Amino acid sequence: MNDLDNELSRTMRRHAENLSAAPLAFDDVRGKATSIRRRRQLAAGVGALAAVAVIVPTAMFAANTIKADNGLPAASQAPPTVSDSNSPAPTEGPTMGADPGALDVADLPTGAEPRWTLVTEGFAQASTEDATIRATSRGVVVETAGETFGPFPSSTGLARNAVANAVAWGTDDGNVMVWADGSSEPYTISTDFGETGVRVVAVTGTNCQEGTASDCSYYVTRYDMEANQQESVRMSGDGSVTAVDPDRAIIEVHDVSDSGLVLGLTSVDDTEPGSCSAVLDPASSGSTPLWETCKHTLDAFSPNGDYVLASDPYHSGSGSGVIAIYDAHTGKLLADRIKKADDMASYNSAVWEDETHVLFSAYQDGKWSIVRMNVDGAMEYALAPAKGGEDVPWHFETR
Amino acid sequence: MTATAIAEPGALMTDRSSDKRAARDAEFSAYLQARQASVLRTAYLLSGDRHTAEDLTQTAFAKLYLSWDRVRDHGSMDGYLRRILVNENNSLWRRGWKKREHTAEDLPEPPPQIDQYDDGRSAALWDLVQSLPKKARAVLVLRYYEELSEAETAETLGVSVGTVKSQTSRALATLRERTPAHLNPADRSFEREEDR
Repeated sequence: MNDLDNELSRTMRRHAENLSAAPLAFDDVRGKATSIRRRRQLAAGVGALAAVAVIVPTAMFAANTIKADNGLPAASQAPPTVSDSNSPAPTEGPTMGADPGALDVADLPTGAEPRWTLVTEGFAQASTEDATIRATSRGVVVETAGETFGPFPSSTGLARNAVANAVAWGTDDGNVMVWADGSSEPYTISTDFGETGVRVVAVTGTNCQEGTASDCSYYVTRYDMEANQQESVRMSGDGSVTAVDPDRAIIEVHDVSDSGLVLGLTSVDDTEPGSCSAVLDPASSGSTPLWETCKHTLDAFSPNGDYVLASDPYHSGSGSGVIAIYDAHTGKLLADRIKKADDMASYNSAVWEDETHVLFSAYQDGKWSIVRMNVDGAMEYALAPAKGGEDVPWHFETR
Repeated sequence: MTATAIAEPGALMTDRSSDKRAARDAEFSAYLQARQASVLRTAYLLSGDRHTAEDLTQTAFAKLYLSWDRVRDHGSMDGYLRRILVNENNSLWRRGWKKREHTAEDLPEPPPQIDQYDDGRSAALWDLVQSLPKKARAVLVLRYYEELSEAETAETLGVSVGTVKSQTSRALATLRERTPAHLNPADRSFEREEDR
């Protein structure tokens, strides 16, 4: 060692060893671990939102937009309505910006208002023609025109089928509950998972009413505390369970397309750091991926299944500084933006607004905005930046 | 007659599982108590900030808890923690509005350590170290504080030994270049040579 080496060692020791012991208790760590596990499950929060029908926030961005105290527009409290899936007509063209690889939303043209409901309360909300389902800290509540059901104890988000007539969620006691339009009340599909965390990540099919006529499948992720491992399975309306793919290549499903393609995590490794994701077609190619990547977490198919929304491969904290879009059929990376500097944007949730546009809630320079991104990465504001605190002001309704 | 309770097979299984979990938690808890102060110090050197260091430490132990069985079986807990600290610290900047999760009472930043024989070199060097890019700082912390070999540092960072060598060399060169002449150890060693 030379003098600088020695000086460096001494300096580091002086500064580090002056710290007092951290009062970190086991319960604190276990609580954080639970939170990380939940975040990983909701990492697809992005994923759980994605594609499908466009929902118009009818009251929110009208001329008489309600403003919250913090200056940010308040979310619509009115039940959203399902619109056609026409793309919004921007007032100016979206821009690629100076750096097409940077997640910099400081100065964008302003386009059309978002065609998706923003939610300010609870951690998830999904709507069908007959009901609004909200996941809150008290559990899941189902509100119809005449009745309110619940709260049903649940710590997870919601999943809705593509035709938007059924919403499902996992309960804290390990079962799956379903609201299906046309039913008189939510019903329970019992499982033998035991008291373990169960989360419904996707629902396929069009008739999810209780009984033998149901053609719905529920993609469920469960965490086995004893085995300390996670798995996703496919469950039928009668509660019978099958593997998502024959060799269980997908350990956590994030989304399922109308055509039966499945995307999700194939591995997670904190020490790499990151994860690998893949798109599979279990019906035709079993567990062999159509394509895979370890560069991003694959989150959600676009409504028509042509594109895949992706984010940071290393989810462990709030938000992401990476947003990307892939061609779902070839795995070609079409757009890839990353927060390259501290003064660039990160975002807390994203959703497919229509076949070719993604909305995400961005935070940059102390301001929150909603940005619309084309599949080629061009961006514009769907909601111009407004000053806001660290707390996320809204998230998108679950598809 | 004393009644003998006969447990259902399922109940026995549950008891065993819960015993297993309790034993695992106790083992982890002992490791946590033994290692947390040291991990916090490394986290502080990596991040340069007490609050961030606490976040990093808590996150690293939480991730270790999630992977405890696998990591413990390989006897690589310390290495695992180091890798998580570095990776977490490098990825923090991507999360703009990250809310801290303090479960413990906030503690003030430690007062600067004044060494009576230190005429400002330590403080100046510390400032310079903190001005280095995160990855360069991580190399220096692992090499000069943790005293890891180049190979161990490479494994922790997930890079080649050659990369560790070149990053170390560049980081040291930057420090030499930026250190004010009168505080530069190289210059001082030159002075000592002259004194002889």
